[in-house]
Amino acid sequence: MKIAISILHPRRDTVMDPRFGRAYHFAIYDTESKSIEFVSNTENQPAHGAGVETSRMLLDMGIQKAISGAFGPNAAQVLGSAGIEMESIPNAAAVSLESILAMLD
Amino acid sequence: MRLENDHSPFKIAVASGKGGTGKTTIAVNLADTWQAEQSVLVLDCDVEAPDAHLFLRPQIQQTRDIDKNIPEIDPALCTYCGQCADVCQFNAISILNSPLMPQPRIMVFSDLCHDCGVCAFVCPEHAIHDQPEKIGEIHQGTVTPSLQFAEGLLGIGQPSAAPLISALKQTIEGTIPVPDVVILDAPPGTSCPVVETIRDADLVLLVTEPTPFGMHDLDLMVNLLQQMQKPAAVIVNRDGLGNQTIEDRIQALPYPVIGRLPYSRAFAEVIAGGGLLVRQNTAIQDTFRQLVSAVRAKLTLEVSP
Ligand code: SF4
Ligand code: SF4
Repeated sequence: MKIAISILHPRRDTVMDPRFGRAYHFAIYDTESKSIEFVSNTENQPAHGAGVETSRMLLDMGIQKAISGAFGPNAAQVLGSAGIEMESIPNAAAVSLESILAMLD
Repeated sequence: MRLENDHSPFKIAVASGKGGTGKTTIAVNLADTWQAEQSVLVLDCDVEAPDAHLFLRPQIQQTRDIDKNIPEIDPALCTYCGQCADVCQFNAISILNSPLMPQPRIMVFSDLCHDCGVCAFVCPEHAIHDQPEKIGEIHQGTVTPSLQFAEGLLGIGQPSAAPLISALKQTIEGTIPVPDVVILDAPPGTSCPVVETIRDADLVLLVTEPTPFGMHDLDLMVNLLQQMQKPAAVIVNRDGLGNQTIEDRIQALPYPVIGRLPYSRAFAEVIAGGGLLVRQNTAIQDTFRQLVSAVRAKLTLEVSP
């Protein structure tokens, strides 16, 4: 299963980005192959509806779960209707990507 | 060019770059003073948090719902061609597709939709129809026979205030008797709702306080007004709080200062109690009478040939 995690920098030793729609980057973690892919979320950011666009991008990539600090109502609507599991991490800005990956393994 | 015998009322917007500068205080006290000379209509355009009513205490006679149209998509007709989503500038329509979904889905986000109608226009299948959705309410009432009042109240979760403000401004035409002056209390900031409020104002009164924050936000506002080519004048609230540097910056603004309200604990208490300054304090009555004269003089200057 592919899991998207919102992160601040496109590398393993980063902390999470607490925002979902306007997160800088995502780590796409594949739980089967244990591989990580980084995708930038700073391009094509619309003035309106960032949460929807971000969700669409991740859906296209075939994710099944998203982990972030907080999901906006529109993002939650899109992800929810596509059956994507959402997990909100409290105080996400202080949580490292490694600790999330450790939880997933 | 506006002439004195033109019967449509003069419109004066009271604005400030940021909240908490005393914009509403100026608007309601100006209105209460002005009504001694001419009939006034106050429009509280700060529809996300209208508070002028707390000071004016109008009798509300009419409450009316304001709707916007939201596109509704008929799933039986939609082919997921995506043309509607492509033309929507606000990303309010989205076609969702995932390798894991059996078929695409189309979603409309009513909070992002600006009711422009383009999506329905381009849909080749005629699958899109308008569905009304309430965005807020307009309350209309009277304070005194020469002071009328209306406010907009944006619905919870409704993000775009501009259409409600536009509907609120339309109450000007329906107000009987036709007011001589309309005072529009603008929302704080410099975004769309502010632009909508001041769009057809004859004069903008910029309320500022002499603090570095106040000045910064005022600069943004001045920028906006210059782009909109609006005549404006400055009112300094809580005068005396600032230093010479700030005073120099106020003097350097491209608009004249036409009034100053001194900083006073006593005023703050009257305001906190929901009172009108001009009903409590004779010195401030004079200040506002002078302000009304100054605004009228400025209006005459701006709208006469
Ligand atoms: S009416 Fe306009 S803003 Fe609303 S969804 Fe259609 S194209 Fe977008
Ligand atoms: S344009 Fe019409 S047919 Fe095409 S996706 Fe939109 S609603 Fe469906």
